[in-house]
Amino acid sequence: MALVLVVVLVGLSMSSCGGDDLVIGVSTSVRDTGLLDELVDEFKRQRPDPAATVKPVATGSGQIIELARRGEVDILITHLPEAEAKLIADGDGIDRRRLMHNFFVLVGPPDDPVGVRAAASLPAAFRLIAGTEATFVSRGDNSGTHVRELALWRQAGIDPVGESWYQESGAGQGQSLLVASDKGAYTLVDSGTFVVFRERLELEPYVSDEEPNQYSIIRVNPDKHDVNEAAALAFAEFLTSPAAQRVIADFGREKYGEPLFVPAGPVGDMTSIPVSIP
Amino acid sequence: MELIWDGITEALRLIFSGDAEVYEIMLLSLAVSAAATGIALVIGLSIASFLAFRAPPGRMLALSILNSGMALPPVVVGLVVAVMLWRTGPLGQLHLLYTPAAIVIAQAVIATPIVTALSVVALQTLHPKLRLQVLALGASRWQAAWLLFREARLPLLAAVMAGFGAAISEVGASIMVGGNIKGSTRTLTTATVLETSQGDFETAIALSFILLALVYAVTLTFTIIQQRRRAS
Amino acid sequence: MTQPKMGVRGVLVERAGHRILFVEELDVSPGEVLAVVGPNGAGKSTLIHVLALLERPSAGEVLFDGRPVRDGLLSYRRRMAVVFQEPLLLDATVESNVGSGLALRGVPRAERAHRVRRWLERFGIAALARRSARTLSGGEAQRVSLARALALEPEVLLMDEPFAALDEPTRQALIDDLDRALAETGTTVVFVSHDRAEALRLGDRVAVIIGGRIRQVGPPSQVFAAPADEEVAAFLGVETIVPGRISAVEEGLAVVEVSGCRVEAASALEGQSAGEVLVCLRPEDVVLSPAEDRPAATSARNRLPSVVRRVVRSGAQVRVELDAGFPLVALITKQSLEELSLEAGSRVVASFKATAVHLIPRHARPQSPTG
Repeated sequence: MALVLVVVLVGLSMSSCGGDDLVIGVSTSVRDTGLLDELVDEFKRQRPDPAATVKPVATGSGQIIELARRGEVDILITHLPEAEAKLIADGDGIDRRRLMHNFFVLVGPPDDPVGVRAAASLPAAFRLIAGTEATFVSRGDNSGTHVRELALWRQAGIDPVGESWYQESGAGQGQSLLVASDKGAYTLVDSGTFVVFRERLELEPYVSDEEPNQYSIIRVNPDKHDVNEAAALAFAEFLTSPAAQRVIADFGREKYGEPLFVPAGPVGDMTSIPVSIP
Repeated sequence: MELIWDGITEALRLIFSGDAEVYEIMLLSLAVSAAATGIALVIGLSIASFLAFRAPPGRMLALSILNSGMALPPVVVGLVVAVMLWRTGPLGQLHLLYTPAAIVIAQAVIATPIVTALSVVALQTLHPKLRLQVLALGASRWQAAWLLFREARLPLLAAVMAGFGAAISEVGASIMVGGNIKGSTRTLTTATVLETSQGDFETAIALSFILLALVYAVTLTFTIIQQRRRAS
Repeated sequence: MTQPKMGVRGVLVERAGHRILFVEELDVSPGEVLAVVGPNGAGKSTLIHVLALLERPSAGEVLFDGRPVRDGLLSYRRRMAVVFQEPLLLDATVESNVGSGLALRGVPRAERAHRVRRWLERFGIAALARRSARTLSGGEAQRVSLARALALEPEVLLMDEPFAALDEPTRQALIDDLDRALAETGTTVVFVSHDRAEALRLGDRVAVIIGGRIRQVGPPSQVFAAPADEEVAAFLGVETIVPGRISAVEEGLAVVEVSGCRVEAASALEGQSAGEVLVCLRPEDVVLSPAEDRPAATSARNRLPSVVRRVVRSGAQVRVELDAGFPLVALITKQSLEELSLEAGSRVVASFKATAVHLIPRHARPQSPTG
């Protein structure tokens, strides 16, 4: 019986082309927008190498960095600048490249009961929310968005955790937006996801972050971990190539009327516009 | 409500327009869950035969563990299987993580306690001496097993259906060990989760509807097999 | 004596530290029917399981054709057949049930069909051939089970209380059919039963098993006439059982010759008017009176002058073993014993009614083929 299982597993593992696979750790926000699938499809089109099975795995940025530390992924796309820097400082990551960015936006109910639209900055808007105890929905999941949100609260000089008006959804970006919309609450969201969900939400964007929400590519250090260096390098080169950057620049234009991300590099004749703030 | 109606319409469109991606996802779901159920059945019947016929000491303990195993959370299974299959994990050399095989393993782990526990019940519906009678008629061990499984086929098919249902409807483990990779490990449930998180509820509902239809079709087939003999 | 067809040597079965069965030695000759009787829980079924190679004893050996069975159990099992108390049919038609053992043993289809038909007819169930086994009555199902076993044409047939679950008329009819079939095939049989009458009816020899041990083995008349110990006597009911021959039927009464004596019996014999029988008499039905008494004192048809061989007191009752030309046992009260002042050598008249005599027909069985 155990023998049957082993035979089945070995058979399956043979069919999956063993050690040549390229495991890409990707932040959920890149997958949830649908950009990941397009980039991977384009990569496969350009590099139809059957030896390398591309395995993009989407999960929270925090988790991806942990997987990278263990050498479980070959390359990662994340938006956690501080953790990324530490990964490289520790020698687990190398060759960090900027891929694209968008902005974190504070969104809230259309009537803006707190009047955050008048706030000069995100920390100022956060202070307004805390002062009036307006409901705020937090991801609460150690994602890139959540980490940035906590940094902003610190800048505002407020510790909201545990307050009755501060609610942690513990869910993905899209789900958290739906929760905020339903409760008539404020929340911080990356502009790309907001554009995707905008139609279904009773939420308006009010204040944009001054710092970009930067997505970076990092390769896992092949000197320290047993990774697929060649394929990872090829993928990194591809992502920073004009072709991939054009995919990023175009992504969302047709479906949502505006792009979701700003590419980091040249894309030829294309220009890109981030989500507009009134 | 309108959304659900739109979803069902979309589901019918996807099915009848022969949408290649949807068909690929359907076939993968079916193949992966069928393989997982098959493995669960082989393991489950072996364990169940041992527990039901040999009545070993500690059977109560084994049965209670199996019964609570029926409520094994898929996410826990996914996590454990993923850690086992990590490159640095004990089975890392197999390079199975983020492949359909990994989903098969995780679903098999989920389905096995269900199939086993229900198979024990199924085999216990047989007369305790029937195994002796079959052996006395001159059956080899395998012949005896085959005959006894055939005798208990009605409740055993119920066990198979329950195991398949648990496998194909599971999502947490599939995402964790499969990675929901387009064209490779995207199943109906993980695709549904993805569409939901992308805000495309219409497609999500369409995929859910297709999943339900698929489960119904498979279960219907089994039910027909199960009840046909009974009617005669 | 011919080589035994099957036997056990020093077989010990223990479960959870309890000794279930211990048989020093037990053999069954080719063509012989060995009836193993004993109360419930005596280890009878375990003995059958061990003989059928379905349960491995903790110690000891099973012999087949004189050789110990050590491995290749399957090939030995395929030379035997087992009938259990429950019919244990498969969920299929009657004919495929009867053919199931043959199919498992790889008997070719044509031969299988032939044998199935033959044995369905032998047990009078040919009409049920295409019926689902689920729909059978208890008696029909047990007929199917017996036909399934005999269709295998086994060298040894083992039966574990095959008639215990059946009602009386069904049981008698099935015993008759089986008896006839066994007489014709000359199959070696070991069957266990808690019912003494079944053992007497079918057994060439009787083994009494109590508390996991074989207490006594021998021809029925010997075992019943001289139980080895009190427990055996208690289980057997200390009956008088002697072989006889019906010589005539007069006025509805059978006249039976028993060792030169004439015994009249009112026992119903289903039209049988001659042949070998076992004469059974319960000891409490035997009345003792002084030798000089006149016949007018009793309405009993049978009055046999006898000599007391032995007087055994057990509690309030006394068991008196007599020689009436054949061994005869009477059970009387202590008071009667004192009134009659009986002791070994005393002369008495033993009387019993014709209705108290029970006759069991015996088919003459072919002697062992090798002997």
